[in-house]
Amino acid sequence: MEDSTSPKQEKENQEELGETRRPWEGKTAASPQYSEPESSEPLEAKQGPETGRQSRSSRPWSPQSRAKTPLGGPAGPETSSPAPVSPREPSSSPSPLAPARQDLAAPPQSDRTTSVIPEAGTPYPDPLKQSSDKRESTPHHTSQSEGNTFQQSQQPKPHLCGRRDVSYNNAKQKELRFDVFQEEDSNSDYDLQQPAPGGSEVAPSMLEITIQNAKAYLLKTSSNSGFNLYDHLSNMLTKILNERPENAVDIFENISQDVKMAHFSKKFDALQNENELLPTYEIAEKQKALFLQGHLEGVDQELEDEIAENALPNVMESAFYFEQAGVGLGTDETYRIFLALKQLTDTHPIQRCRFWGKILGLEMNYIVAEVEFREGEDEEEVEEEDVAEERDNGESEAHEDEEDELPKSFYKAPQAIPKEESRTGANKYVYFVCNEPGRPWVKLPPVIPAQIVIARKIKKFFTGRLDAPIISYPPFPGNESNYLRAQIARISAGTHVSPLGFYQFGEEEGEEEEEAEGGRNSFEENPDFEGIQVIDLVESLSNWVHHVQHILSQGRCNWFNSIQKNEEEEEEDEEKDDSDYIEQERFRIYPPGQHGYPQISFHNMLLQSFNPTFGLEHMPSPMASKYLTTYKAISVIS
Amino acid sequence: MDADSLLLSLELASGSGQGLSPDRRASLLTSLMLVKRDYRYDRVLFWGRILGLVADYYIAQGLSEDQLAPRKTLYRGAPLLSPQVQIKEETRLVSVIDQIDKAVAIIPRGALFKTPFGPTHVNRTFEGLSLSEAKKLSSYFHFREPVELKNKTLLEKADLDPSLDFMDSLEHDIPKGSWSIQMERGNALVVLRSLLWPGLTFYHAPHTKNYGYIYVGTGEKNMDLPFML
Repeated sequence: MEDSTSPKQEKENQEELGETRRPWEGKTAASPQYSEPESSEPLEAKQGPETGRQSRSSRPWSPQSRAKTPLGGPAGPETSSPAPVSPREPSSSPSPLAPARQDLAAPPQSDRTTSVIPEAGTPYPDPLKQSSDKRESTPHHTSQSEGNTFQQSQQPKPHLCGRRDVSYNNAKQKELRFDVFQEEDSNSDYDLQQPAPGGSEVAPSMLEITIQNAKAYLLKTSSNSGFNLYDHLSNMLTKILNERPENAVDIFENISQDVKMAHFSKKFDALQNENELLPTYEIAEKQKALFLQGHLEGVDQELEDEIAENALPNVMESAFYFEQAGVGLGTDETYRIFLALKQLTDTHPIQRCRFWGKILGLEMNYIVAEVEFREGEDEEEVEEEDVAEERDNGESEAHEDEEDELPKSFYKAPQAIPKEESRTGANKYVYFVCNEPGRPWVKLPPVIPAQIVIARKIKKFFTGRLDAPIISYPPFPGNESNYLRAQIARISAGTHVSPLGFYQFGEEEGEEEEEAEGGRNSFEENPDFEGIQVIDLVESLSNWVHHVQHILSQGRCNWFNSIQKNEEEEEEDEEKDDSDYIEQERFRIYPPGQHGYPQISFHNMLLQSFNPTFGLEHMPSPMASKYLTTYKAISVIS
Repeated sequence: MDADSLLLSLELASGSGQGLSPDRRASLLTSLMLVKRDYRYDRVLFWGRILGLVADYYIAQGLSEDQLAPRKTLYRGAPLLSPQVQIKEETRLVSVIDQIDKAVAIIPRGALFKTPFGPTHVNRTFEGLSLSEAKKLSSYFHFREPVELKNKTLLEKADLDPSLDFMDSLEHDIPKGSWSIQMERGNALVVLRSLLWPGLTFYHAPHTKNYGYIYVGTGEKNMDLPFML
């Protein structure tokens, strides 16, 4: 209704009134140009009687026969449709809000503002006001619904102005509403500084001076923040009208704050954007490389497929099953992990690869892959341990050369238990880690038993950096990469289970006794496995078995008897073979030292030899059988 | 996390490894909607999942208009009456949830604001933290009545904005370092994990309105925390 007519009014005003109209029509809501219309008011006031009055009064489009309010007060009754006005007068007169009535006049009469505003100005005589009332009554009725909304929504607006001059206040309100109303119509930029052409002709009137004072006040820069109210209000209204939030009046203060904050942050825009987004782009680049690497290699497809089938697990399929159980990393992260694993298999000679899991750290996380190298393709490890041993031997010799003034300690630390060979026991698999898919994979060093023993005693968070030191008590021999490897070994040994019968041992390799290093450590999938009922699997645990070797308290999977080495050293002192044999047997029972038990006297050792169950508690049952025989042998002899 | 954006939130919080299976997710969506309707809550949050020996509890919380008012907590699961202990498991469950909430439920700065009349409201103009803010612990608050605010010096208080900074920030949590803050997916997601209550994950996508927290764990406090750092 009103909206449709006002654009029409706009256009017609443009045509008829010419330039003076332009500044107003060009307004967007962003810039409530309080002063501008006012500055052009006097112009209008002057021109009105000259040109506008008649043109406005003759509005053929006005179906509601709104009375055109001429600028001149006495010209009021001359309006084109006085008749409709008068019958509406009495009905409209009880309108309770006196200033509101005048306000109402403004919105529906976008074209009339020129005429209405000067009416509101103080210099104009009262009769004009009365006539304006009459005029307003018409629009009041015609635009009842909209006017009401305008009324309500613009009630708070007077607070904005805070002018004590009521008339001036009213004028500003009208202009504001006029602006708001008009912004829908035109999108042209409003030039704040554009003076109303022809304004120079007008001698400054009281109203104009007041208006200019008000504007100057609004433009005054705050000493604190460098803002001025004028700009701030215009920015705020721009934002509101651009974003059109619901219940804008409720969040008005927040919007005000946001606008103020935005003003500050703009200065650092360039710098901040660069800094913040760079890491994002970097990671994205790396991951893009991940996605591309599959396509780049166009080598033997058949060969690749064969290897790929063996090597690469179907991560997505496993992830699907895990998701059904409520465990998972999210689909896209899983896919990226899959791509990273593919990259790993492409760059290293890998027989079999498996996604082991993800370890959360303080600063970064670890993604772990369990890998089995192809036969004979193991990368050689730096032999750090041998170097260390040599150094120790050298030191002990040096001590012996010293003069015998100080009492020498006879204590010889129990020899460090050597790590297990690759592909056996705790070092059966090689583990690679990376911080994020796309980052390079790092191979973890093999684990030594001492690390596992200490890892069982401490509890530390991972930081995410492989070279971080582990500060703990008892002191951990190694840094975070060793601790990580030890924990991975412990977790694998303790939790990797499978249904009974899924795996079976490889072909029996001779007698057990011949095997020095606990045999039966190679298993393979059982092709005849038929699956177990879900009910059976759920109800009891007997259908589940560990398929990874348990790690003894020694820190290894396969028992290492460090006494054997002592035997070799002692052989030089022994003369008789029999006594050797007996000694050996006795020493063989000596293992308590390996278990961490306190050193016992030779006498006690003999006593303990009669205990056939000694030391068995730490060994898994398949191993126990081997030693039972030996222990029985011991007891018989002694 | 908000029931409205449950699916998205679960995807974002999945980095910790514990999530929900698809059937659970679907049933949760509908049941949270029903809870919202029946109890007439303003917002319903899916609080998380407490893992038990036999079965799990799924916890939801309802918030009224005033965000800081005491929340109603609802659970779904089968409470056992454990014969050994005198306490009913239900009581224990409630107390654990309360403890976790008081200790580690967090909210980014600016998501809620306090009106002069008292009640706190969701800040609809909250557009997310910026990247530099997101990496700092001081941009996150505990989602509870403030405890330490009064102890701040006047100098510190002068810098605070009373409408936004009315809760304790995470900076002064004891022990220091009990929060792990990480950026995932490049810089597109910031994830905070509590080390005191392992299993509490908070996520926020900077420059967006997405944030939320979820607890999936056994409901045990990590008493070894100082030794593990």
